[in-house]
Amino acid sequence: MKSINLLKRLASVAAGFLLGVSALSAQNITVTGTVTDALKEPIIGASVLQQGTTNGTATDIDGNFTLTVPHGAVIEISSIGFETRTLKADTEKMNVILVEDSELLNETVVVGYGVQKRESLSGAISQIRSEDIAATRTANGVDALQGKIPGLQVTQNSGKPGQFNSDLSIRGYGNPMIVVDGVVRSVTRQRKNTRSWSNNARQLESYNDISVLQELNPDDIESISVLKDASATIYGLGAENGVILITTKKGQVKKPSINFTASVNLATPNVPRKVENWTSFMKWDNAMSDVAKMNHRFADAQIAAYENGAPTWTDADGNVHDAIYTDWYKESYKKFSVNQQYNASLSGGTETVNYYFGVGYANDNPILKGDTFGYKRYNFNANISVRLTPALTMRYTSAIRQTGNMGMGSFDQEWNIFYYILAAEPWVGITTKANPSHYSVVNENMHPIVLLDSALSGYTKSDGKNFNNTVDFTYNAPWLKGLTLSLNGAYDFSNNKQNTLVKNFQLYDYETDATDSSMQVRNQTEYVELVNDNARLYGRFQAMYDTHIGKHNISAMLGAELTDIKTSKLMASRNYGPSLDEFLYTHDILDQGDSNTMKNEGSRSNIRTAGYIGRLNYNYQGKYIVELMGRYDGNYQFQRGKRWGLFPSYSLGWRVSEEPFFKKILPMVNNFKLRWSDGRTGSVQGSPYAYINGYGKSGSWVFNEGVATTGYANNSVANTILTWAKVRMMDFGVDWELWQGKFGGTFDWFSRRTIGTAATRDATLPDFYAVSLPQENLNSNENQGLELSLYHRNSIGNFSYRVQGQVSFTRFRQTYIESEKTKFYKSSMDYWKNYSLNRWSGWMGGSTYHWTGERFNNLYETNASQVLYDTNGSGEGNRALVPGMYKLVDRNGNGYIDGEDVFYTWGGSMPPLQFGLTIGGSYKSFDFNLIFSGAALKNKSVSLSGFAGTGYLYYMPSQYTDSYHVANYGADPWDPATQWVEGEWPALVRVNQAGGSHNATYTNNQPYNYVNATYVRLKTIEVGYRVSPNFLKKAGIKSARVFFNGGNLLTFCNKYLKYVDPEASDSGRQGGDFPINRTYNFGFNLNF
Amino acid sequence: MKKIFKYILLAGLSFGLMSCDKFFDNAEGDLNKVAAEDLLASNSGLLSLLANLYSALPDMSVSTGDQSQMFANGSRSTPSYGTSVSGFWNYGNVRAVNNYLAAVENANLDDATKAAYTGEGLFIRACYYFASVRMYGGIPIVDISLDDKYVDGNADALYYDRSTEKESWDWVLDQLQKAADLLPATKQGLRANKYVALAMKARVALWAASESKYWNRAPINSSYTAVQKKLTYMEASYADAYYQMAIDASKQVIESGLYGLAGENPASIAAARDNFIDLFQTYNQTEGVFGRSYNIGSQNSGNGNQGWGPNQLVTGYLQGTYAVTLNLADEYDYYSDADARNRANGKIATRVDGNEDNYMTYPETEFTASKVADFKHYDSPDGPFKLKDARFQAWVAYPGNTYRGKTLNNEAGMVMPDGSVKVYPLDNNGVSFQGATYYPYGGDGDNNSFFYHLNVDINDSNRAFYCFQILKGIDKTQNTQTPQTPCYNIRFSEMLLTYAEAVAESGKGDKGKAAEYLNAVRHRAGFKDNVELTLENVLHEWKVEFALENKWTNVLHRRRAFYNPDNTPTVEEGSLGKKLTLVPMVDLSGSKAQWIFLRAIPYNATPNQGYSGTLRVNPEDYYSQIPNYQKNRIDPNNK
Repeated sequence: MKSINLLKRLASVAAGFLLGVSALSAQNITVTGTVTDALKEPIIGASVLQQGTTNGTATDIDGNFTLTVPHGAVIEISSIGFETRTLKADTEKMNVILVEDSELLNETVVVGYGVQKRESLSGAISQIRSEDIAATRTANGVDALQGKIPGLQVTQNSGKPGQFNSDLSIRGYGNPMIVVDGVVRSVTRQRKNTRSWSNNARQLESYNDISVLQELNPDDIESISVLKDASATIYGLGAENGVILITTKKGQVKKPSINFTASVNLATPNVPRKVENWTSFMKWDNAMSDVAKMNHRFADAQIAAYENGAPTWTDADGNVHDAIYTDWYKESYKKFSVNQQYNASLSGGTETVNYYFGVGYANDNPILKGDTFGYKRYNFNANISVRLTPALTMRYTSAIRQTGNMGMGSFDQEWNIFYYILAAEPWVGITTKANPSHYSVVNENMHPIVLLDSALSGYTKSDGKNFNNTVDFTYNAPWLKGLTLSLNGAYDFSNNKQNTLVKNFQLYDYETDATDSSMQVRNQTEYVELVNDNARLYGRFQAMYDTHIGKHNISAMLGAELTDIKTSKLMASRNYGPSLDEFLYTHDILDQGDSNTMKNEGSRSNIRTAGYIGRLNYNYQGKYIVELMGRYDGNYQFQRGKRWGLFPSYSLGWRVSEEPFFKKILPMVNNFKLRWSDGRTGSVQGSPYAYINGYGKSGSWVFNEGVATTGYANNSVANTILTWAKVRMMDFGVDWELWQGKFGGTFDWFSRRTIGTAATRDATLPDFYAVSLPQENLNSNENQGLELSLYHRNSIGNFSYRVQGQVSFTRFRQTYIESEKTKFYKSSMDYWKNYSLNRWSGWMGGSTYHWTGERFNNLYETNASQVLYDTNGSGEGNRALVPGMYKLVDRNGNGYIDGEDVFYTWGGSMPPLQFGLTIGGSYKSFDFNLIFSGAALKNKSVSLSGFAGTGYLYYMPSQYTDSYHVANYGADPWDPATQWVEGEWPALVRVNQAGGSHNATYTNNQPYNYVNATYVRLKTIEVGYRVSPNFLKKAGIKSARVFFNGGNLLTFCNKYLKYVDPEASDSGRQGGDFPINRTYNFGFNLNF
Repeated sequence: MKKIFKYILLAGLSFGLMSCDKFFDNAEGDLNKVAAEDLLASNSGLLSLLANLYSALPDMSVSTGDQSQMFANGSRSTPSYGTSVSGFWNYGNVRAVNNYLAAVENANLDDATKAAYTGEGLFIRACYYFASVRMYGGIPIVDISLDDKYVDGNADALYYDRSTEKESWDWVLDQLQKAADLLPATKQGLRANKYVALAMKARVALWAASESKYWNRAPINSSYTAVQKKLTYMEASYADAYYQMAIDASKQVIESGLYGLAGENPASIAAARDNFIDLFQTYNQTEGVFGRSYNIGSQNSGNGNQGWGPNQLVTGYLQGTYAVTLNLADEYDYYSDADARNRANGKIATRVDGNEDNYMTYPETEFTASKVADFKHYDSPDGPFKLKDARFQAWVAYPGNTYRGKTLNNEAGMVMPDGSVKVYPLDNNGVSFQGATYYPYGGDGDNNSFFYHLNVDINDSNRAFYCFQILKGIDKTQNTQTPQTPCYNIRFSEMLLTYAEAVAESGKGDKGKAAEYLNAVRHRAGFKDNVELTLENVLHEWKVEFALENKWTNVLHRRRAFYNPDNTPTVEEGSLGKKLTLVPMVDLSGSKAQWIFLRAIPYNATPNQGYSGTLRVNPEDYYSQIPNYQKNRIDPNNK
């Protein structure tokens, strides 16, 4: 009880403090009133202030306030998220309705180590609020940002549950730094290799862990800020790719309120499957064989039997085969997957204590059958703030995340599962004729159903536990108004465990049920456990001072911080017997494996950084804005004397719209701001401790029988020269807003120059030196780009809406390349193709042919061609040209089409031009949200003739029937007299092996194979309906909202991309990777 | 309240004033690396540096593609132990040893320890350079650490010119003598000691001597700069001094009393055979002067010579890759009988008329039913081999040999009970005969035969059929993925033969001792008689004692036996242009199963199989091309 009394006392002191001390004059009037929102809900904690003074108060829990002011004074009432209102104090009773803030101008923006009002920003910072993030219902937090923030480039690569491999980049720079509640929380970690083809379950790779963003619960987010220019440099070394600041929700001074959202999501592959039926396929395949001058894969008798529905057919040798058809696609794919998300939060508070608790659950299931894939996540977020004394506040934030992720045991199978599904022979049953428990041998022994069953073929289970804890003490010094001191500490730890079981399994011949050692996958079962332990200790001391001297607004910040990250890895594995004969698999427990095969690995490392931070903001009347920033930053990687660097930045802003002349000329423009920022930071590179001349393991020698002594060798000289690359980030921006927020926009030009990226000096040394030169800070590069964002808000009667669109264009070039100094080019073509200095990237190197627009319609035309084709150097020339083949541009006019005629085209990943459009609005109780995103300057290979192209797998997309083909099935395509039917695609040719080429002209780098993949996609559509509060209030529910949310429902792109996703990174064949999903969400949201 | 504030301020201030670098200095460094100072501070650290240097030691085989394939007396495709010397242009290793020597020099060690560690470094470096000199002739000798010689982009100090070939040999010999002077005179496990250095010196000296003496067998185009500058040049007048060095050095090793012949004076042929098997199972400290052991007590690494043995004994797809030619098999003498054990000509008797010069090229068609009677019939598949030199019995897998309790099956066809013949048939169908089943390939299926994937393999153009494979180095008790059998770099018998050859060649030294040493090697193999000290006898002994360790090729190389202006191998040294084999067959046409052996030139087994049509015996191929000679600013060979 005593403590409560103490708290009460403290609270009243606090209130008194807030009231301030102000001399009351004789003409004072005491105003009382209530502040509510448009729905008559009281607004708690709204600031009520006599304009130009410190005389003010805050509204209480019912939205009431009392304030004594001189009669006629102007009272300013403001609250975060609402438009500020000013009223004249001429009546004692005031009921104030605040309308929700529609003007971005007054928004508070989270910046590095603080917050600023948007109007006084001089850097390129974009912010997005909770509602906009949550509008996209996805388990991947990165995808939820797609198309919403100018300059933030997101490309979704696949729809694999829990994989989160979407590309994320700010202005094309690379992996950004992620800061959550003031602490840098992205870090380099190790995991099982996801790229190597190796079957070795123990291979590891390093990656930048941004799971704090990927796996956040969108409902727990208050806002996300993206620092794109010099404003990021305040985070020091490593911030060169920009910074994403995530602020989680805090409690508010209000009655306890509960929010509950549930949604169920049905997902199907985004690209519909439309393929030829089996008999049609067999004929097409044979026709492709004819063109390729290869033997038919399917006998006429076989085709006839399937056409006639005969149960069996007899081959030329008299063997009888079942005429069965197994649709491996159907057997392996679900119609749709069902996924769920539940989020609940409780928040509230008084003036002394406020709190926010959020829990979330999400699961994401694969479109494939079986139990081999899947993702589950539990989030728990707590934020408690206590006002210990009127001046001292403590805030504790805790984020707990538990994730579970399933995958296949071996990566090559995981990557190839879609290929295996399409490559399994359809005339083989799932199980053998004789024994339903014996799985049949299929192509490469990769039986899709077995692979999708973890009990048969193994799994990779990832189990992550993340605990992030942050404590802040904030002290508003009563002895110096405007001074705030804060101490911030964080302790995060995480434990990530991966258990991998790679099982062998036996297959049997479909017809005979016979088996032998060639019909098994892997000859042994391996089990691996990998444990990663990570801990981050972070501390920061910060002092902030805000003051106004007349029209001069000054704020300053000084701080110091340090981070200490410890990571450790432990991996152990065992096999279960050396061969299938001797194989007894017991359990996925290390102890139960064969102890003779035990292997283990372990390592640990320690990352330490520290920095001193300083910032000075000055503005005159909110008109001239100056920001000076500096950071003195230290990093553990480098040797003594080279660890610390000073990184200064500045930015300037001029709100032209505040100038009287501007107001006079263009009164409807309520904001027009010019911004310039220029900042420096460093990009950490090289390996830690390269300055130590160290020895590593190398070779071994048995000095005495039975004992091998591990050798140590040194293969490099100590690197005492290399340090971080110097990065300079520049941005020129314009912000404008008209008619109080009806129209507005921003435009940015930006440039990032990096000087001194690591490279080896180009010096020719004799072999006797016998060691490569250490890397030095030699190379340099540059990113440049433009960003434009436009918005429009309006309301017409009950209908209000907002539209926001943005587009960004980025490009990159190397401005110095040491190795180019002495590089030798064979020819001007070679130089043109491979010389990269000062060349803007984004083009795929000269590697594709261009089309003249004409085609060879028949063999007479190919024979008459004046140009010789030898596009893949096979020497077959025009003899292999098939009807429908495009006439290519003979760029050098030498009469040959060969490697010298290739030209540039755009590449496939990270397209340089990306755009997004958000349309949101409400009408009465309805609300809606449409989010489009897209990209241009992008091409995509449809792999018509590449790996597993036409005629290799057992399926053919129906769109290819619209190709040149002989009019009568079976006619000789190489007889000039044969009649052809024209189509969109050239005549199809069968590939004879995976990855093999089959025809002199039918190669990957041809125009029909590289399709323009510019697309616009309706990423999200959400429609919600808010149920009348009166009706539900009896049940204690303040408000309820039901919604439908669709993902990827609509895509506009080239018609040739009908069966491949223009956005995804799949290799062009249908289902080359987990398809991006089309989702249908149904959900509701309750507010208690 | 004030207190809290005070603490916050205090904490902030103390943080702010904290020494910057201290925070980083206390971080755990790169735990994957060890600093040089730490390695030098302890014996185990020094040993780990040495372990790396030793592991890079080139083994004593020359195995550059067709050069080794040419030696028909060797095996089909010569297996090499450990690190090959081909292209041993490894200044990375030289740098490692130079840095090691510099570090030892600066380390805080007592004089005796420092001397021993220095001696080991000198020994290893000399071995590296030996490998280079014999490949490239005179080479640039870098004997200091160059790490700090590249300053401010100035590379002048990094360039070294080639020494003459003689200077290079002399330098290596001098280094080995210096090492011997520094090293202890007692055994050091599998590390170098005084006598290891001397034994290596004896080997190097014999090499230099042979090359000098036989220089004119294959002189190199005298217009080449490399010859004029004597970078690739030796002459007969140098020989005697080197032979004397070889005699002196080998004598010291022989008389040191630390080493000897393992299993001297065996009681029987079987005892001799067992001794030779055991010698290659675990490293023998008596026989082994210097070598490499793979015995580390776990299965994780080993000798990696799986491919040598027949399929019946090993697993993996390479089994049976390497084979022994008939040319070599014929070289192994017979014992006159099991008791007297005098030397008898080793030519394997296959024909009734004794005409062993008769070879078939296509046995499938050339051998017909009418010819069956021409062949000598044996009652068991190992009939012709029972009285062969114990070394042959121990190291060669021949038809009917037993190893690890298995009888090794290797046949290439059969004479059917009806008298018809089948050679290299496409099937391996068994035939019942007098209550037993016989198979064309000796055993029923892959697991019971020399070869993996029977008939496919045998007829494959890449794997001509050979009658003999290699047992040496195959584990005698179990089938292991990577056998942990040792490999000897220098065996004691090499010292005996070195002494004998040097005396026989130069007339220096003690002839009586030389003959005694030569016969000691023979006696250990079970022979009881004595042969005279002749060059021919010495070379013969080199061949049978060392061919299966790939060292016979070294003998031929140093003696320049293959490189001559006529482009023909020097036949008197025992090399032939054609690889020969036996085709063993079971004959079921008589009253009982008997075995006959056809002499054949196996399919596609010409000496240069798999390579371009010419034998590379041009004298200028004696030296390898100097790598990057322009970049290194030195003279090339052959120009």
